[in-house]
Amino acid sequence: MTNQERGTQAPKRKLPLIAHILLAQVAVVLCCLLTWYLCENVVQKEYSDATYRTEVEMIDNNYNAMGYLKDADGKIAALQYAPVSDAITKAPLYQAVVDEMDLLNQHNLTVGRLIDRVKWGYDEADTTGRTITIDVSFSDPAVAEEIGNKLAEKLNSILTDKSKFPGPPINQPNRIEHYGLIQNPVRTGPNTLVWVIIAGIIAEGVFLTMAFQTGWKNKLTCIIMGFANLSRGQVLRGLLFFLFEVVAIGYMVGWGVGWLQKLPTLGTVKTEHYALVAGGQEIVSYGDDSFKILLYGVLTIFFILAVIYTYYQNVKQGRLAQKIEEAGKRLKSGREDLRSLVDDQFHKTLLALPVAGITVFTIMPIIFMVLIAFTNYSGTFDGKENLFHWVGLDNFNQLLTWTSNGSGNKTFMATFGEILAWTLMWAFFATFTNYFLGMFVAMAINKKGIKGKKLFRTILVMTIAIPQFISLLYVSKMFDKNGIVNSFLMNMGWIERALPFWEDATWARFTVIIINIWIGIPYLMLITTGILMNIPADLYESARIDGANPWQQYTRITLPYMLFVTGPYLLTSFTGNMNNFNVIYLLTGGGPTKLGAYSAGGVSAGNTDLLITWLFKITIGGDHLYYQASVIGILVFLVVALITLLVYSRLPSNKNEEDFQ
Amino acid sequence: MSNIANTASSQPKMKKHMGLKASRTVGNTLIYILLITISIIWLIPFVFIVLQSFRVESTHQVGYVVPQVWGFKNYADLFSSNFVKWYVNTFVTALFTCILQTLIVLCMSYTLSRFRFKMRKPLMKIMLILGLFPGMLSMIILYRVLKDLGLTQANAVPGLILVYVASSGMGYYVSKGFFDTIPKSLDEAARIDGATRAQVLYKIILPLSKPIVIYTLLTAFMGPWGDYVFAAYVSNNTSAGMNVAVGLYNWLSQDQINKKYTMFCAGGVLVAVPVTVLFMCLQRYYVEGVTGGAVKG
Repeated sequence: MTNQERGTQAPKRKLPLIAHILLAQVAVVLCCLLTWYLCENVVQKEYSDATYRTEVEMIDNNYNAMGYLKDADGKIAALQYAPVSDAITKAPLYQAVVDEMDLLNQHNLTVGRLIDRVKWGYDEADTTGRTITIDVSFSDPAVAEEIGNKLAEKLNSILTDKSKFPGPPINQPNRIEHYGLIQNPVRTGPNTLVWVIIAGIIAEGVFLTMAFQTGWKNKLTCIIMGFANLSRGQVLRGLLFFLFEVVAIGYMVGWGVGWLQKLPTLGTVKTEHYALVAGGQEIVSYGDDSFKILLYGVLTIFFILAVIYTYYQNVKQGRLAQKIEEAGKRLKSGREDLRSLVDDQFHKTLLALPVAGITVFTIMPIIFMVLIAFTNYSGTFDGKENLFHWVGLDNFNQLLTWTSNGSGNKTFMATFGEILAWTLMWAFFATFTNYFLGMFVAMAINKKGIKGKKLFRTILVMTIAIPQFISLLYVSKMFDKNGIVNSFLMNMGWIERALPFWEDATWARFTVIIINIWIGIPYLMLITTGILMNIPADLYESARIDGANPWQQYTRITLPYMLFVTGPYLLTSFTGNMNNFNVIYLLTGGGPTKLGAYSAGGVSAGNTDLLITWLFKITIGGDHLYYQASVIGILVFLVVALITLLVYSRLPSNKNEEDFQ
Repeated sequence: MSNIANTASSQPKMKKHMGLKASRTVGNTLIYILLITISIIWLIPFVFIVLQSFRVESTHQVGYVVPQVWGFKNYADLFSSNFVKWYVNTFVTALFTCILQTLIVLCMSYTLSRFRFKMRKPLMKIMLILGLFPGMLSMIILYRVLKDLGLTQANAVPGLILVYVASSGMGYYVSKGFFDTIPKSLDEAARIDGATRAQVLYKIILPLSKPIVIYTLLTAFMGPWGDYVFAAYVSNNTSAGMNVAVGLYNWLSQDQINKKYTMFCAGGVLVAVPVTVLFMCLQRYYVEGVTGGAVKG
């Protein structure tokens, strides 16, 4: 708010601004008190569950034998070699639960939900007696006790029933001990203090904004978004703001808050699988999904930023409407608003869809993947079976110490350095061989007196049209050990054994560069032809008169001109080649394998691997080390950004884009 | 220099001219040889692939090119394989992508070229920076999002279209370069005559933009035919959701190549021919687009 605005509005206040601000503080305190009251007295309190514990001790150390669990028909339930935890505990327990269908109906529970409430544990170190702990947890202690008792009873009858559970001779009877209620419910519900602070912050923002507004319409718009517009007859704008507010509150209450709460831990409830019994179905109790929590958590943060921006716009539009009203002018109607979207505000209409697409499908994934570098997300910690969590800067700290879990013996950094070196080498050769040879071909075709210019150009251009995967895959097979090239050379008697185009590191690197020339020349021919024709002919004329030979003409006129004009293209083409996935992946798949290189999850780096194909391999390889791929991605970005930054500012052709208009 | 040339007698000048002509002829002959060699090298793989697609006597890789027994068996086999499904998938993807992507790209580039608004420069800078991130990484999350939407595996086609189209606004450079060359005075004249900005676009600019519209349509149509990596990721080994690139790539894997090699060639021909014909018909626009785009970066 500028001084001038304040000057014109000040007289309308009945109370000084400071009084408004003080009143706002009173409102904030009231809000906090209200929140406190709601949390303590109105919102239903949540308690942690009461836990009822039973311990079963089975006096038998031969736990393979424990697997002779039979079902009702006397068939062996095929759990003989299952891990002891499954064989002993889960299967009988599951059986017990199924047998107690009445119990389930009585408490409106499904089998899955009941199993979710029953946890068991056993002591790994205990090899003589098998002690299984069964904890039944319900928020109602009475239910916990009832179900806990019945399950313990049932389990006891199954385990001691020799007909159902024969096993080898057991010296002593199994012992069951009831511990009863071991944990009383503890109040966990919403943390009052946290909610009071959040309410305070929101209220402070709203009421402080309110204090600075004049007129009841504009004050009210701080709480009911769009009111300033609605009350002045701008129905469309007002309604849109109001609708947004409804959606925002609905989303935050319904989902947003939940996701945000889980974001710091990325989930705590694990997914549990319950054992199969006699061909029965596996029961899965789904827990948190770290991936979703991270994804929706980030989305919610984006959403909150959007809410704040829209709120700001809402207040701004309100003031604008107020000003126009005071000046005695007519406000824009909804129809005029719509019309301006195809006129003065047309750029907003045009950009809405593309920018939304880029935000959701480009920016979001990038932010997400950067965040992955700070977690341990991988095939093992996939966020479902095993939750992943934040690891801070660990991944970056360990860059130097990461060593292979495969056959390789080099560290991550050593292999990264080698691949980076080859990536830069590749980008350099791929860019400049194409550039100069393409220019050369273009000049040859353009040369005076050459006939059939169009034919030659068409032949080259045609190769652009053929999808790269066909040409690259086919050419890759041509240079195979048994490919046409080798067969031809051997048939001609020029070579004894097949040339190792793809098997030898140096050969492979050389071959990909050569084939890339084959791919690239047509493009470069097209690009340079146009530019070459633009070089003023009189430059060459005067050079020729001064006695310059073709080479001198080329180095003094053509090349400087070309470099000037195509500078930005060369830069983008260099960075593009650094990330040229298709050529490398379709030709060599990154091979041949680099000996002794760092290997992640059974995937080892190859000699023609670029950083980008290496990253891809790590992602799809056995262990799916997403966090390592993410770290590599960030490093690639840094390298590419550094090169771009260094070169871009020095380009002579970094010219003003308005020149043409 | 010109003085010397004037004072010199016509005889040596004539001789010098003859010498020049002779060396130019020699030079041109060399260039012809070079160009013809290049043309052959560039065409060889495509001639080979066509020849091998007609080979009937064996299905694996062989050391010769001209088939001993000619026939259409490989093509016939294609029609009884999943290839038809892949082809339809790719065609549908390409069709929708090319229409929607062209709309998005034109919206983006026209706006950035024609309007001056507060966020314009920051927007362009942001997109420049975004372009430097390896897009490969985004695939993992895009895959998960598409999976949650049920748009992977057998339903990969709509998923692919969505992803191709959604982020296509980033490729605005070439067409922005084109719009930059249309004089702004045209817009201004129309605005003075009372046209809205939208009318300026429909009535003035679009009729002038045929080359760039065709260029964008063409490149957008050709993109999905060649995309391997993302299509492979999204279809996730489900044959019904593959595009031609993924399907044919699998045919060259270790365990299939001996049975499917000639079919791969036939499939390649069936993919390449329509795309190439379309491309050659619209070649002029492509060349204009590429040349213009490179100069303006």
